[in-house]
This record gives sequence, C-alpha cells and structure tokens, in this order.
Amino acid sequence: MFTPGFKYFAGLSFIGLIGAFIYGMSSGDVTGPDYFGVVDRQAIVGLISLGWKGNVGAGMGFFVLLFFSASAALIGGTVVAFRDADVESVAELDGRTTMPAAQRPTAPSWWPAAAAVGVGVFLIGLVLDTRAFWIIGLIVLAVVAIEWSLTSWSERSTSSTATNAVIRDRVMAPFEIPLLATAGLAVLALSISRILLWLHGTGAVIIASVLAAVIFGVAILAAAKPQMSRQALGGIVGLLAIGIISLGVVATVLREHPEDDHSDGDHSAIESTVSGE
Amino acid sequence: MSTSELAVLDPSAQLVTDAAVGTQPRKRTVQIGTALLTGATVMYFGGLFGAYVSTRNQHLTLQDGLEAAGERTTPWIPAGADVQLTAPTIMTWTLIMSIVTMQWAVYCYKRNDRRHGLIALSVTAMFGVAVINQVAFQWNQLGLVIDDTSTTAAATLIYTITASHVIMIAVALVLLFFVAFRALASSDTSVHVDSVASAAVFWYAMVGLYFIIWILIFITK
Repeated sequence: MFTPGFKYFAGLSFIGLIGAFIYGMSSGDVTGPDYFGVVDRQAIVGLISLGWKGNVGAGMGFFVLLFFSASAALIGGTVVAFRDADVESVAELDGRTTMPAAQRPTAPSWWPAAAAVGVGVFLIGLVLDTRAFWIIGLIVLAVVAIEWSLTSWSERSTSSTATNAVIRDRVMAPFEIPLLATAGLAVLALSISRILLWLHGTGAVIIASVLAAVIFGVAILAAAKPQMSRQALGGIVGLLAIGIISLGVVATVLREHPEDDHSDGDHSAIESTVSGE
Repeated sequence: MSTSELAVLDPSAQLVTDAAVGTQPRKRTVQIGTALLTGATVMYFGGLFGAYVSTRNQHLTLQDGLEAAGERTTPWIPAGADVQLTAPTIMTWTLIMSIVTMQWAVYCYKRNDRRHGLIALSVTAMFGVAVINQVAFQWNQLGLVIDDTSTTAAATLIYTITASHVIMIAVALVLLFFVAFRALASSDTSVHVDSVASAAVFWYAMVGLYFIIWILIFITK
C-alpha cells in the first residue's frame, strides 16, 4: 500500500514535525503556570497554534524544522501518488503493455550552469546598482533561454543523440558562429585598446608588436601542423584570449585607479613581464 | 532536388532523414522533478520565515525589557511605515481564485479542450500579474527603506520575503507560458497533462506560501 519512497519521506516529515515541537519547547520559556505538571501552558498552546497564540521558542529552528517536515510531506505525497515510478503502475495508468525509456536521449548541457551565472551577475548588478552588470546578466539569461529552448526542441526530434546535435547545429550554427566571432573579436579589440591606452609611447609599441608576433606565431603553427587536434589549437587560442582579456581588465582598473599602480611610473614592470625580460 | 542529390551537398541531411523518430519519454518524470523543485522552494521560504520570526521575537523581547525599565521603546515596524492590510488581503483572495482557474486548466488539458485550457491559463496568469502589480503598489505604499536597519531589520526582511515571492510568481508564470506554448504547438493537449499538472503544483505552493506571508507579516505585524 505504502511505497518505500513514501515511507522514507513520511519518516523525514514525521521527524521534522516532532523535532520542531521538541525544539520549540526546549528553546522557549518553560517556566510559569504548569501544564501537565511539566511545562508552561503557553509553550504547548504556542506550538500547537504555530505561534498564533503563545510562543514557539526560538523561531528560526522551529520554522526550519516545520518547513522541512512540509517539504518532505510534499515529496512523499508525490512519490506515493506515482507509486515510486513503478513501471507496471505507470504502464497500467497509460494503458500500455510496454514502457518507453524514463528519459529521452540527451547530451550534457551547459545551459543550466550558464543560467546560474546569468542570475548571479544580474543579482550582483542589482545589489551593487551597477547597470553594466545587470544588463549583461539579462543578456546572458536571454541567450540561455533561446539556446536552451532550441536544445530542448532538438532533443525531441529523433531518438539519436548525434542526429539531434546535427539538427540543432543546422538551425543555430548560422547564428552562433558569426555572433560569437563578432562578440569575441569585440572583447579582444576592447581589451587590447585598454592595454594600449594604459601604456603610452614605447610601451604601447612593444606590447602591440609582441601581441602581433604571438598571433602570427600561432597562425604559422596552425598552418605548419595541420595534424594538430582542434582541441589543442583551441586551447592555445583560448589561453591567449584569456591572457589578453585579463591584461585588459588589469589595465582598465589601473587606469581608473592610478593610486593602485605601484610600478615606477613608466610601467616597466608590466612591460618586462610581457616581454619576458 | 532528390534526396540523394541533397545528401551529396549536405551529408547531415541523410543522417536526419534516416534517423528514427523521437520517442515520448515515460510519464510522471516532470512531476517528480517539480515536486523536488517545489520542496526546495518551500524550504527556502521556511528559512526566511524562521529568520523573520526569530529577529522579530528578539526585538520584541528586548523592547519588553526596555518597557519594564521605563526606557523608550521602538516598534518592530518603524513608526513612519504604512503597513496596510487591504492590499495583502486582496492579493490573498486573488490567489485563492487563481487556484480554481489553475485546476480548470488541468481539467481542460485532460479532456483535450485546448481553447478552454488556454483561457484558464490566461486567467490564471492574469491573476499572477495582478498580484505582482499589487505588490509593487504596496512597496510604494509601505514607506520602508530596504537597507535601513537603524531601528529594526523589519524593512530588509519584509522586502526580502515579498521580493522572493514575486520571483516565485514570475517563475510560475514562465511555467504557465511553456505549458500554454505546448498546447498551442500540439493537436492533443491530453499528452501534456504532466506539464500542466506540474505547473499547478508549483502554483499551489506559491499560493500557500503567500497565505503564510499574509498572516506572518501583514496580520501579525
């Protein structure tokens, strides 16, 4: 009658409820007129009425335990309603003789994590009242909403994960590749411009020359070693991009807060680091 | 252009053509997932309510001591604030009405009545948007400063709890949108009963939590 899942969550719910009452009583004021010859009448009345009349002791623990009990009861009620996802029960409910797989074929997805990052950036922007952050957060969330929806749609198309990925790419790649390339180039150009604006004269010339030489070197490497895997080449380009963007962020901060710049004034420290001296 | 000619130009076309059609997954998975999400949300609000009650009790206990000593006391809700019960009561009744329309949507989906199902979802969503509108009105009416903890932490906690609930309504509205979209894109709404029932569970939890907010914050004050 009662499924194992239900028994587990019902037990948790019961423990939470009993724990809430014991905690509420033990953390409250038990002195005063006796009830059952043991504790204050108001303590028991408060716990039974959930604080409406009387008190519930330390509210934090009482409410957390109470809601723990409610959450467990909700999940327990759900799992017993579906008989712990028992295949025979669900098949009977659906009028089938054989059951399909519990899950459609899906590929690992980054979108839940990207959505979490978007929410985080958005909230930080709101809390710090920084317009750039919450706008970036909203843009990230909008992109994730589109990408996630299309990924979800493609995963319903066929029963093959590889084919679903092909279908998704056929729809999204014509948009993703130009947009990502444009955005990536814009960020790189912005970062390089921040570095060059921070370094004046010779320093800027040296940095620009070094960057051009590195980019040229990576291009020669890619041309000379066509057998090099895409992952290796992507790793090298990615590391280079991260380095440039990081330097751009540092240059922006130092330019806005020159008091943080402890170099000797002509930025020789940065120059020597970049040029490897 | 024939399929074989297209396959030469685009090899992936043949792959897609040859692939087996998608399968419907086993039912009830969405509902179990929604139950877990709802349980986590309820626990989150449990923590918030606990913090509110705990902080409020500490403040009131302190004030009782000050009053006994003949000192000046400060109320839990700052004196300049205007916490009225009208708007929260209207919101509670609005949400109670939305339970009926939400269940109407589930009923219509089960019977493949797409038109009425969409009407029911629209009315439910309208109730949700109306509540968000009322909350915004009440935030303006309250006159509380969110980071003013000079006398009590009531403002910070009230805004945190009510804003969290507004976010919960927004999430519930997104779920309703997805459910409505599936009905629009499908010829048979009865295959989407799982989705609409899941959205309903989350919606009912949202209504239940507002009921507690109504009593805990606005009636008890």
